[in-house]
Amino acid sequence: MNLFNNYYELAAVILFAIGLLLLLLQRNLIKKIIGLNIMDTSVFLFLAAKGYIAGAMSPIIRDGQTDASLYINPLPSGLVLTGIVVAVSTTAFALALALRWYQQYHTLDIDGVVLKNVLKGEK
Amino acid sequence: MSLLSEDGKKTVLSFGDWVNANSPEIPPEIDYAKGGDPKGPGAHGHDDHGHEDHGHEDHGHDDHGHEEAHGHDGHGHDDAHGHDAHGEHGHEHAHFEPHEIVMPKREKKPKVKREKVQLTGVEHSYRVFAVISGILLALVLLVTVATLPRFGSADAPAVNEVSRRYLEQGLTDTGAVNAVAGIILDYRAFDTLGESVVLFTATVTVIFLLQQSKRKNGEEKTEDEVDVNTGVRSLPAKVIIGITFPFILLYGIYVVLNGHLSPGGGFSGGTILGGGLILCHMVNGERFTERFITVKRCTQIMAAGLFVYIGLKTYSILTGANGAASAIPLGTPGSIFSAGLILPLNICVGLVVACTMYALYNLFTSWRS
Repeated sequence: MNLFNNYYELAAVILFAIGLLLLLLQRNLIKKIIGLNIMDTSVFLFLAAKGYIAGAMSPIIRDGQTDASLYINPLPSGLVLTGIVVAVSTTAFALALALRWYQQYHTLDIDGVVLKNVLKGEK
Repeated sequence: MSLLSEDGKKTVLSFGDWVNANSPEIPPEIDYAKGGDPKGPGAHGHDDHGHEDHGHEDHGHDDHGHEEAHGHDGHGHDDAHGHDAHGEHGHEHAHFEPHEIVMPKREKKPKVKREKVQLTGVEHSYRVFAVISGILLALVLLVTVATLPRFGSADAPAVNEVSRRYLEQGLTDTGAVNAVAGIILDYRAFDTLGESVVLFTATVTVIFLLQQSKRKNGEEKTEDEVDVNTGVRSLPAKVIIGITFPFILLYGIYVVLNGHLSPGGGFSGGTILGGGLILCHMVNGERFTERFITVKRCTQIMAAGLFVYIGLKTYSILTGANGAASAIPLGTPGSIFSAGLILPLNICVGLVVACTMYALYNLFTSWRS
């Protein structure tokens, strides 16, 4: 059992749960987007932690030494880069949609408006 | 901005109100929901004031100093009005002479009624279910983490022949000293092209979503907008940015150009460049930055960068990937002009990222509801 030795992964899981609960429970759209971003960050933390090898150097070839055991795993770093870019793009898109929502309904409370619509439909 | 100050958790705009919010003939009465108010009966006492005209209503509420009434003031109006309400709230507290303050703007827009929303049974069970499922998921993930190989162990399954191949053959394949740059701009260059297109698409979508509303009522200038145009009114900030701005850009260019030699590259360097531009826009205002960069020019630069990227990579895929002789030398590893196409590709990516950052900031700050 490596639960408390894998402290980076542990922190990532806790952050993921916090972000998910924010996403599910907050009624404010901006706070929902913040929750989504916390989930993104936790995934990046997890991936970056999986690439680490204790005692190894960063994956920049020094003095032509191409022995793979000297360096950490470069692949997760590249994947995290992709993830960050997509996270930035989706956050910008979500925030723009939230602003348009605010313009339309004069509130950021998404659940309240949806609930009101549902209640109105029932009457 | 008053967006975040809105506490959507406790109070909600009723359905009919945002429909009526833009129609001029709304009756001036305020109806608070009866009961279910956690802040006590004080907020309901304002029903007495509710039948006066608008200006007096505001003062009556602010005079009593209830947060409920204060929040109410900010919501029905656009951002500038919300700021007025916040600013003068404290002022009225100090003097207790609310009728002296003239707020003519408030009479333009009708009041928006707000009422408490009781948690329905469905919503209550939704919240309980959400908490339980979130905790269950976290427990499953924790069990997974407990069975993962130890952090930093060299014999983890993630360290397999793929990463070994990238490290051992990367230098001869790509010529890049930085293995990560070799992966993202040579082995997986098509993926990076997709990322840049995602950034471009996000910027175009935000332009589409936010500039439409700007065109509708662009003539009225609020106090916020003046700030965006001229920047902060602080001489030290302007002087410090005037001194450091060239160095921020220089550092960003350094990080972009050394992407194949050291940590960094188009993404991180582009973010530094974009951050410098954002800082300049924050301090000096749009009237200063629009001399050398605008949102339109950002999209042009991004499109040009993407086309150059596609052109270069098409050449390299057609020649190098087919085993034909490529005219691009790999150079000696470690020198600045090495690693084949990675340096120009880094520049393209850096331009795309910097323009994305600046364009997004500019669009979000210049947006008015």
